[in-house]
Amino acid sequence: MSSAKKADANGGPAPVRPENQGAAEKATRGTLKYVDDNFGSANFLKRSMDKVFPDHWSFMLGEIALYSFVILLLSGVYLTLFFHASQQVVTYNGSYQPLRGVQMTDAYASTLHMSFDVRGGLLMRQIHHWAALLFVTSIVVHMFRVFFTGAFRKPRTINWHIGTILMILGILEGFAGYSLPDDLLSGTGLRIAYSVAESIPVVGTYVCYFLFGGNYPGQDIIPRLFIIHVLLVPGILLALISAHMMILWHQKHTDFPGPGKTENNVIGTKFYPGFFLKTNGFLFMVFGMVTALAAFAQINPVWLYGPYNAGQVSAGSQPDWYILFLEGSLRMMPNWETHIWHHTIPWNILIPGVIIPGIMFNLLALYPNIEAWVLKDKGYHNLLDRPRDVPVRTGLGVMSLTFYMVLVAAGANDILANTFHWSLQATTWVLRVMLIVLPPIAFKVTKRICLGLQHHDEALLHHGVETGIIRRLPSGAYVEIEEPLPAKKAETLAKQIGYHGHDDHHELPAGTNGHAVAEPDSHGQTVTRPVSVAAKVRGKLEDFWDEPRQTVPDTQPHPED
Amino acid sequence: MSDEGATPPRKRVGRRPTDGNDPAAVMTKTEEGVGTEHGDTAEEESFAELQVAALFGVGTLFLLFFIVSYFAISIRDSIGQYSNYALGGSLALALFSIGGGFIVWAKKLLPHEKAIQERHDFQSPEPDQIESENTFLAGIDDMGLGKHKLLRRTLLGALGLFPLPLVIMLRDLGPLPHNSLLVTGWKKGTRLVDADTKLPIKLGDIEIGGLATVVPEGVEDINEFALAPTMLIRFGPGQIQSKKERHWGYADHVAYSKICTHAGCPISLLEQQTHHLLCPCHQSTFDMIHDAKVIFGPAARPLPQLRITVDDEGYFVALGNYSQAVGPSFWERR
Repeated sequence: MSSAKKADANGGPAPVRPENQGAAEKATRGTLKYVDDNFGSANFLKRSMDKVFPDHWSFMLGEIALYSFVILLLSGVYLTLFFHASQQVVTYNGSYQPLRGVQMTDAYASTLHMSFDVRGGLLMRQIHHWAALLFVTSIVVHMFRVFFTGAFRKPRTINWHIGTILMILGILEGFAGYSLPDDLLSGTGLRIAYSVAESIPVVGTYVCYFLFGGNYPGQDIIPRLFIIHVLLVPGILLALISAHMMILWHQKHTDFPGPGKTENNVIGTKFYPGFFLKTNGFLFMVFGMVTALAAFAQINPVWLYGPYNAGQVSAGSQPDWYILFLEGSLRMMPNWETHIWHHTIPWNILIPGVIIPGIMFNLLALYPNIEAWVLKDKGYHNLLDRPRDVPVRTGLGVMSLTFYMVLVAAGANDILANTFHWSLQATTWVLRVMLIVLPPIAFKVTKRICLGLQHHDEALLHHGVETGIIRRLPSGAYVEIEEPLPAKKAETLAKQIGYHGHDDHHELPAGTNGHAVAEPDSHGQTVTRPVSVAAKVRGKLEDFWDEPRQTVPDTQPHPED
Repeated sequence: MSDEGATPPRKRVGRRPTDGNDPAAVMTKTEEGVGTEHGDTAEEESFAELQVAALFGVGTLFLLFFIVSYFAISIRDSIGQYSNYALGGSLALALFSIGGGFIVWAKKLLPHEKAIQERHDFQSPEPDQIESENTFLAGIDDMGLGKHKLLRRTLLGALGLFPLPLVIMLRDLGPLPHNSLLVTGWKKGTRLVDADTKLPIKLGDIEIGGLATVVPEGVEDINEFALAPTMLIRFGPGQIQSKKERHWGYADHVAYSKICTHAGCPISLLEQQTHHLLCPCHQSTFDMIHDAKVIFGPAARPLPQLRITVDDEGYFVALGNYSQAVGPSFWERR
């Protein structure tokens, strides 16, 4: 086999199949030939196996999302074998003693059955729930990586849009999933979701009645959520994940700048066999981690909550973490409501439940387009930014995250107040103020840190590392001796910094930043062309965005001078 | 895996993988195109193989343990806890071992290759783009979409209406709301019965400062009347500050909707000292001796009050339905 391989790699004479093939080699070659004879796949297969993937730990975050999706499909199919998506009222007589004889829906009873009377059923339920948390979490952390390194820039902007839709669908799918057991906690979540839909002006009540088949809770929501949860959304997820991966495969992965790396190459591990083996190992590791959690960390013990009852609720009802920001925004909202012409607009639900998440998700999805518009950036980008090198983007990202995190904390304001013995009202008010005040501060601080880090990089590169050795000069002055960076480190750093010297928008002629341009017309007279409002806005935004790089003045006397 | 029984090496000499970020290593490899690092002794290799084999072997053992514990450990003991620990623990360890096997295999037995690959242009060469555009536009020309106006309009009409039947068929997903959001199950003379025991409540059953959750008599499944749950609260003499509230109640007993006017959660937490009622979902707080007015939180409206009295036998009854819609606000609400 090795001789054939060598002939291939050298690109010498046309390769021939070796004479003496062992049984295994013969079978392998036979299979590959059979597939190619039918599909002409040899070239594609060869290219795919040779495909190079760059190595960086942060490129594995998306893989975690992919593998948790695989786990979700496997465990989910198993759960459907036992779950009854029905709101028929039954009397429980399974082996969980505290609830025997209690009236409950079939959905809740079948969830108890699979937890207590099916061997491994509880394990599967907990695997499914932990994998769902991991799915949404890894998508979000993967998006941090993509956002803060600028991997969303052209030509990957459409893939960012797909990714955002995947995240939103992941959240919806998670909510639908944990609503299915029809326990007291999930029923409360559904009740709030119903109220949010009900708050939409004009069509709200119709949306609710069509979705729930009548007034809350009705008889239809569990069967309908079930088919949405096991067929509709997973189908769309599967299609979009495939598109996401195919686009990634076609466009090749981005990489951080470094020695030897350019906009036009990829350096890393070939897909087959190196990347293939490692990523398989990673799949098993992710599966193992989820299983370990499912074995030893209890999640969503629905039997403790009891069946859903419209007249009951338990204090401390927190949803899964990815819904917490919505819960928080509902809790923070002042109690505004408008009554006009015999109609009611409940702003206290409409704004936190519909408008704020709408704005957040839209801004998230469209950020790459906004940035490219502001910077007039039409170039292709395969090398990634370090967050410090794009202070405004990093600042905006941290600012948005701060806003989000305050909402998440607000979703647990009762727990916070209870745990730390704070007044609930004071906690809520402090969080309301933080929601407005903290994001701009986060922007300023982040930008400042980025500029500081840039300064540090420049200093390292131009002055070297501080040694702690003080030398006295003949003139009497004291200087600290600085050692130049090791050559390899210096080169990497220079690459990372140097990469930012030639952004496309800097090459535009000066004076076009949305300001009126004075230029000679065909008669040689100077005319001032009017500038559209959009262009003016864009220019102002670009001025804001365009943070000049930090440089280090060469002021310190050098010992060798 | 052929020489499984090879003698183990004496010292531990697993090979350190090349540092992917080592710029010098990358640089030399860039010049060559593809670089491979050799220098494994046969001893190192067979030790690495042993490590991988051990991991796969341990994985197999844990899988067997899973199968045994599936049958051997009863799910009835301690509500299935032991079964869950055994099954989950063994499966997790099996998966970790197998995954670890793959990773050690990739790190220690595979040639350490730094491969370099050219990226291709993302867009097609301009002539190709133009030709593709031309072909597309020529097709539109051939179809005559530009000149056959009538064809174009009828096509748009037909395709525009095509989704309509599908949308219309969603109509029967549910009834129209009409006035059903006002239906609560309360009528004049309906007795207030305890939500759990379904027993009617007599004057004197509730102590001062007490709260009972009540539903209309005859409601078997409360989820069918999700807007019905009501709180019957008894205050001390003279505590109720609102004339209207006192008037709508009966002998210091007042009945208020339990469904929060914010997002519809059932409210439950009454502070006896302050007479404040707190919604556990979003912390809207209502002052129950001042017409249940909102004193904190996102709720915009006071809880609706149910007019009550006591019938001939001394049981609490409603004097009619709520005078306004209970629960969260909606567009049609007046």
